[in-house]
Amino acid sequence: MAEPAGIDADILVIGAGRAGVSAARAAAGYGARVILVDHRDSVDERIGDAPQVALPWPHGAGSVRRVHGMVWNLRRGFAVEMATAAGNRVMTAPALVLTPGLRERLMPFPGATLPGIVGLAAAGAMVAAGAQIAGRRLLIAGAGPGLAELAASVLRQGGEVVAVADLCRYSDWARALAAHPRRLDRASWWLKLLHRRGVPYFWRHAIAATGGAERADSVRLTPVDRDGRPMATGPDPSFAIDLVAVDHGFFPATEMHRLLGLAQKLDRLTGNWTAVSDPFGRTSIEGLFAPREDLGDMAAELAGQAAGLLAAQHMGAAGAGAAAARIGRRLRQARNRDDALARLARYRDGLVDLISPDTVICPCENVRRGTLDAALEEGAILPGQIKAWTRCGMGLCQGRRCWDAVAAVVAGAGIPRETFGQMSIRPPLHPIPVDLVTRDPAPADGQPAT
Amino acid sequence: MRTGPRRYDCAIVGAGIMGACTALALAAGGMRVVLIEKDVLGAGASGVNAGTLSLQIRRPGLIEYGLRSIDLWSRLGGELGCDLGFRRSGGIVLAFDEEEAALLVRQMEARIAAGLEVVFQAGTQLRRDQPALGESAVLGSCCPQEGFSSPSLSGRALRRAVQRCGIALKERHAVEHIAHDGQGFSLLTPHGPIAAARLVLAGGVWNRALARQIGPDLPIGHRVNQMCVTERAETLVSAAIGHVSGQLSLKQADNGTVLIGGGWPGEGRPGEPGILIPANLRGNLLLARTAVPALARLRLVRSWLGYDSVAPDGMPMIGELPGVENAFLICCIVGGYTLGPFMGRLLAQRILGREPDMPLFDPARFLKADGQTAHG
Repeated sequence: MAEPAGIDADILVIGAGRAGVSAARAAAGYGARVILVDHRDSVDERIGDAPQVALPWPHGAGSVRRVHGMVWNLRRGFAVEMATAAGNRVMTAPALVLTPGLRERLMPFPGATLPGIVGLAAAGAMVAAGAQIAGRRLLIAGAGPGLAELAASVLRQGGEVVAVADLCRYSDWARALAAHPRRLDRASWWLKLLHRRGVPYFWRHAIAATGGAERADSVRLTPVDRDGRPMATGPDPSFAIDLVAVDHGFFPATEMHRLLGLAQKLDRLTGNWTAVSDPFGRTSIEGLFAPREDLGDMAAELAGQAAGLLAAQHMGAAGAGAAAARIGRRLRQARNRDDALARLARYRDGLVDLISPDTVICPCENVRRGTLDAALEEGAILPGQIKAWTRCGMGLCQGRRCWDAVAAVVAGAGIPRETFGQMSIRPPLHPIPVDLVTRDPAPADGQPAT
Repeated sequence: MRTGPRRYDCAIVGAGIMGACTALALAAGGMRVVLIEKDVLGAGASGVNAGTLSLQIRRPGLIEYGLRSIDLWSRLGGELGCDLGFRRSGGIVLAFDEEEAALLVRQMEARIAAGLEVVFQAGTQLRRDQPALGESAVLGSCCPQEGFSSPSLSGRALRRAVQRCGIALKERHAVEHIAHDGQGFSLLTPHGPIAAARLVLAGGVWNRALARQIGPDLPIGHRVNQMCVTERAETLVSAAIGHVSGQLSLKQADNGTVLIGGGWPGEGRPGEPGILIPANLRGNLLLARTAVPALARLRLVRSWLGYDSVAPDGMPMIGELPGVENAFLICCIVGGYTLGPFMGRLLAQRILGREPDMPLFDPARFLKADGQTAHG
C-alpha cells in the first residue's frame, strides 16, 4: 500500500449517480481523463443512483474510465483507496468530485427491527426486479409522491397494499410538484388508482409501531403534525401485514467529505447535515468539488455538471470555467423549483417522540433508547461519550443509520443537533476484509474496468 | 458562608486515567480536589487506547510498577462498583521463527528477574490452549499476570467514582492561563478562575504547554498510535496477544470484536483527528493475521488514533514540576493505561507528604545543572 508513484487520472469522480455521471461526462468533454468510481451497495442504502448508462466515451481527447470499487479510504491530494474484485487498489488524481449519493433515513419506532420491514428503496428494487410481491400484504410509509408510485407499481404486479402512510399532506405534494405539472399529473393518477382499488391513503401519518413475534405481522399508524410529532386523536388505524416498506426521507452521504476534513453545516431547507460547498460544488479544499445531490434530480445533474467543468478547469482545460458559469442560471432555477420537493424528504424532529424507552435505537449494536437516556441523565454530552457509554454507532454501519435518531434524542435532552454534531469518521468507510487490506495492492491498471 | 471563590487544596489539570486516579487518591487522603478537563473525562488517550494491561513489553524498570498497577485494576471495578471490562486474561508474546524465539527468551530474562511470571511454550502447546494461533508461532512467552480492560467502560466508571468522592469535576473547562503567586495557583478558564493551593498537571500531550506557563520547558513529545477493530466474531483468542517486536497488541473483547494495535504510528498533531497511514495499518494487520490467521476473513470496522506523551528517555515524568513549589507533573508513561492507577497513587502519596510506595520519576532529570532544559 505504498503511495503510488504516478497519477492515474486528471479527475476522480466517486459515485456514478446522476451528479457523478454528469460531472464525469462534462469534464471529459473538455479533455479531462476521468476515472468514475462506484460500488453498488445494497440498494436500500443507495437511492441516488441513476440507472446504469452506457457512457459514450472517449470523445474528444478526454476519457472516462469506469472502475468498480468500494472506496474505504481517502486522502487529500487525492488518493482513493478501494476494494475491487482484483484486490485493494489505490488511485490518485489532483482533482476529486464527490457524488456519493443519498441515504434513506430510518427513524426508529417500536418493532422497527423486526424481520419483514425494509426500506422504500429496497422495496422499489424488489418490485423493479419482479420479486414475489403477489399474495403479500404490504404497508408503505414515508414521505412524498414516491409512496404512491411504489404502491401503484405493487398493485400493477398483483400485490396487495393494505395502506399508505405519508408524513406529508396533499397540499405539500401539490406545492412541491407545482413546477412539475407532468409529475403532478402522474402522481394524481397513482392516487386515483389507489382510491379505485380501495387502498386507504393516510396523509400526515407515520408508523407508530409494528408488532409480531418472529417477524412483523401488524402495523399501527398514528397521525402526526408537520414535524412528524405523533398526535393522539382517537383510535389509531391498525393493519395486519406481511411486509412493511418504510423510510423517513433521505439525507446526503457525507462520510467522504468529512474524512477529508470538509466542514459540514445543518442545511436549513432539509435539516440535513451537508458538506459546505458553493452552488457549483466548489469547496474550501483545493481540487475538491462536492456538488449537492439532495435538491432535486435536475439540480443534482446540473450541479454535477458544473462541478465536473470546474474540476476540468482546475486541471487547465480551456473554456471549462466559462461553460460552468453558463450553467449557473439554470442551476439556480432548478434549485428554486425543487426546494419544496426537497423539503418533503426533510428531517422531522417530531419523529423522535415515537422512540419509546425500549425501542432499539442502534440496530447494529442492539442499543435501546433507555440506555441512551440513562447516559444523558448521567451527564454524557459528546458524541464520543455517547458511543463509549452506550455503544450507539459502534457497529458495522458506524452510525450511518442511527445517528439522526441518536442526535434527536440528545437534542431532547437539551443539546441541539448543531452543537452535538456528527460522529467522527474514520477509515474504513465501509467494513473491509482484513485479507484485502493485507494483500498486495492490485496494480493500477492490472484489471480492466468492468 | 464563604464569599470569595472557593480555594481547593489541589487542582488537577487533565481528567485522563492519571489525573482521575491521582484525584481519587488525593480525595481519599482528605484533600478537597478539583479535576479540570478541557473536554470530558477520559476523552483523550485514556478513552481511545486499546486497553491492554501489558507487562511483557514494558521496560524491566517498570515491571514492578506494572504488577502493582494491574493489581489495582483488578480491584478497581469492585471498589468503584462498576464493570470496567477488566479481565486477567493472561498475555502471550509470540515469536515467529527461531531468531525471534531467541530474542524473546533474551528479552524476558530481565523481566523475569524483575518479578514477572513467564512460562515459555512451544507452538504446538500454545495452539492447544489457543487453537486460533497460527502455525507461524514457534514460541510464546505466557504471562498470567497480564490482561485487559475496556477504556470505554473505565472512563464512565472513573467519572462516577470521581463524582461520588466529592471531587469537583469541571469538564469542558479549558485552562487558558495558569498564574502562580507563591500562595497558590489561579487557573483561568472560560467559566471563571479556579484557585488551589497545589497544582497537578496531568494533561498528557498538553502538559508541555501547561508546564511552560509557570515552569521550565520540559521535553514532552508525543506519539501517534493507530488502532483498529474488527467486526464481532466467535471466540478466537482469550489471551492478549503480542509479538516480540513489540508491534502487535491484539485481544478479543467480550462482545467478540478484535482490537488490534501495537504502536504503529499515524499522522497528526494533538487536537486533530489525525490521518491513518495505510502502510502502517497494513503492517499491523499482517502481524495480526500471522498471529491469528482467522482474522483474514473478518472485516475491519474502524480505525482510530491516540496521542501519547513521551519523554526522550521513554520513561515516565512523575514528580515535582522543577522550580515551582507545590506544582506536580504526571505524564509520559508509555503504557499509561496499564500503569496509570498505580502512578496516580504514587504521586498522590508524595503530594500528601507521605513516602511513595515506590520511587517517582523526577522530571528534573531533563534539566541541566543551571536549571535550563537539557532536551527539546
